[in-house]
Amino acid sequence: MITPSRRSALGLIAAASLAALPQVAMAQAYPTKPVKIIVPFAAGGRADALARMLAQGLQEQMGQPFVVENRGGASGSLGSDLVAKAPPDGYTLLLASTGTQAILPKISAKLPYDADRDFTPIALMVESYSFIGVHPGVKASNLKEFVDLARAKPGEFNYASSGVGTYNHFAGEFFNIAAGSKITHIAYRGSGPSVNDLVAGHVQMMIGGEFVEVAQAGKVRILATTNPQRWPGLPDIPTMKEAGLAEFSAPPLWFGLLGPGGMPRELVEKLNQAANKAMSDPKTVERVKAAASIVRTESADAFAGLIKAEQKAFGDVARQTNMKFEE
Amino acid sequence: MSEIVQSLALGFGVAASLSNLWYCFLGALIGTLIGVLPGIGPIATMAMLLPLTYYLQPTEALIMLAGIYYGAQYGGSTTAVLMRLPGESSSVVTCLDGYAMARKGRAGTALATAALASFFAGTVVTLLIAIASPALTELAQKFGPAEYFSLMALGLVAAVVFAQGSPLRAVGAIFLGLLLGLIGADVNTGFDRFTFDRPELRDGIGVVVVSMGLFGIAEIMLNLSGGPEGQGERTKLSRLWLTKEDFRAAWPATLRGTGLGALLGVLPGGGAMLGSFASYAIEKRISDTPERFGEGAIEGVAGPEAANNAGAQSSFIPMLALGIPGNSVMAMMAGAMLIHGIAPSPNLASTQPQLFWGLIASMWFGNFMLLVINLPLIGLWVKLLAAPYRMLFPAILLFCCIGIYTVNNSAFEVGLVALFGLLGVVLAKLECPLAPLVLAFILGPMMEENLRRAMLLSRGDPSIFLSRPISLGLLIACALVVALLLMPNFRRAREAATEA
Repeated sequence: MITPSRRSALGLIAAASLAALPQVAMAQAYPTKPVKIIVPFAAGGRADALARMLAQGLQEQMGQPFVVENRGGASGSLGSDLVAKAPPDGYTLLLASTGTQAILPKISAKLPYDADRDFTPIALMVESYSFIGVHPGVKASNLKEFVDLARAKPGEFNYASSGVGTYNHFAGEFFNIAAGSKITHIAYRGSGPSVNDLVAGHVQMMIGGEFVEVAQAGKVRILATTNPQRWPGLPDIPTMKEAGLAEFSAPPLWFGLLGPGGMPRELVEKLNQAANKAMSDPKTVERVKAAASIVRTESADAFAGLIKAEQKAFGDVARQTNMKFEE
Repeated sequence: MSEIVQSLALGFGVAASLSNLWYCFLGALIGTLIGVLPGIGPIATMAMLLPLTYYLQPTEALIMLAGIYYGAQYGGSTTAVLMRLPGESSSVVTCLDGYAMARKGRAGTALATAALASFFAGTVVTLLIAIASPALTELAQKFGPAEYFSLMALGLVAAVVFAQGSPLRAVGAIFLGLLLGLIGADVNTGFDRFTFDRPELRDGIGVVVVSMGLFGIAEIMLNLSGGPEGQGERTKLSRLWLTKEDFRAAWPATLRGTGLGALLGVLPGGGAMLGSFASYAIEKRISDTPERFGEGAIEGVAGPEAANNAGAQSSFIPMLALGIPGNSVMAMMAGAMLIHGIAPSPNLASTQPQLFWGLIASMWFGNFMLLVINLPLIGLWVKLLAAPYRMLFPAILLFCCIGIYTVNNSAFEVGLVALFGLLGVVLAKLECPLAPLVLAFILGPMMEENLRRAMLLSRGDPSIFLSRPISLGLLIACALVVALLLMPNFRRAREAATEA
């Protein structure tokens, strides 16, 4: 029979031992069981391929299985929600992107989670290159000519995106704002149909990285890269600044690793280092390069800062163009 | 031409290597199995196997994944014929006459017809991929939003042909299908429609969910209720093979189905799926005895089965010729290439000739293997029908649940299937035809999307649909079909036919 006083004493001891258990020790022991990496998109896409590369690298370093689980739907918010509601113990991670972390919170008021409070940024993995591509029939051989053409003929050109509120859509609006042009947005379901119509000439422009290969075969003309530096794979393609449109300010598209909100500092550090090491593997670097991207290894803090800055940039454009998912 | 022969020789050299043959067989076998299991589609399977392909050579990986895709088209017809349960969304049409044949004790014949028609279509279209990819790609590129809209409009009008009984009920079913197709985020604005604030509904309802519920689950409920469709009628099979008359009826349908499926499959988007519907509609339309359709007409199995396999095969064309994945299965193939650091591109044939031609050549082997796998299995499948229903139906239900769950790891969708099962029962009691509903459900969203896209591109000028020749042609065809429906003597003939 446990008397009240003994019970409270036991409780005290238990509480004390819990508090004494340093988080460092917990982080050191991590992982002691399989870890789930949730990809909030359908299997087979870029995020999925990256998650699998990362999972393999982490598995080799940490000796526990890292399992990739695809939970696509609702622009990534279904999968993100699972991670937002998971305990911050490092056993449920999210492969997020610009879209889920910086764009979605700015255009959807109905998200079931708080995009800032409910996530802990861990590691920026990859920066993807985007390009301004035009149909070869467009009479502009460089960006300046295209901007002049678009300004001279407002309402004549169209640009494609893989859907409302996607990165392509925002990049197109950033372009309209920077160039003072009025190129009409045409939304498609996914990148396949949008690139198809760009190649066929039903639309004249698209901003993204999905058509690089098609462009190398001469079916799309690339005028500039929208990233701050030139892409090593296409060293002759100028940046927007070099091509004369320095006003263009869309942040580059990224993919990175996040966890639920409130993850212990030590755990974040450990995962950040492991993820950076996994992504720096020469074979991984090579594979990332094949998809018009580069590996980025940053500290967790730098990653968090980047997300904040981007949310503001995308939020501003969303307000200016009245882009949102609900009335 | 000699270049193609040379390339094909290279391809056969690659595909005939022992390891590639093995992965081709493995893909075909897995494809058949998941095709048979309702709900588990090629996309979910490929997604599950994608991490494993990491450890394979790229050519082996792609050969296996491709095998899963076209293998699933073979297997998908099995449950459609046996239990009226479409294993894949492309076998919805096979439920109509395939199941009717099975009820008349001709399940074996129906399955053999499906396998042979699929084999024929598969081999022919593989040749087409090898020789005509660039030309077909060019044709597909001519299809802009306006052309798509007109094509979908034609399809929708033709949906009335699927009706058995009153055209009014068919029209009602079409409208219900259109409404269901509206659920989800609007492509042009991103706003939700009819989602009741459920994020799971933002991407709309899957075709598999709708067709499995309406056809499969509803059929189980009807069987158990012992109503007019009761299980007492489940007859034993008589034979497993086709008679001479069967062959005579089936082969022209197979030819037409192959051509139709191949053409529609090249169009990105839901092309491959439309082939089987289109083929069925045409077979019924040109038949001297349209009243046999729905009662077990062998043309209604041969044509659509040829069409769906042809479509599955020809949907590789945009991917191989341009590097642009036209549907989600092809996106998965592109993903598998990316894992190996190969970016899909229009130059694939010149930069990766081994992989490109090896993959194409493997499809011949794969189709042949599928025939070898499937024909002996027919006897086994048909024996399944002899199993007591009280043991069969819980197993079917279980497989349905597992299958649906694996598509998106979503329990919500399992619930939706049950709901559609209930709707299926209600519609069956009201004698509403289901095929027009499913067709409208597939076509509606694409039609709306392309209508609005075309209007955006023309800045609100509807003449875009008439000023483009292909679009105009399709709309004229549309008008002709409507005129035929309204013409009194045709209507009488049709009514006489359906009442017979």
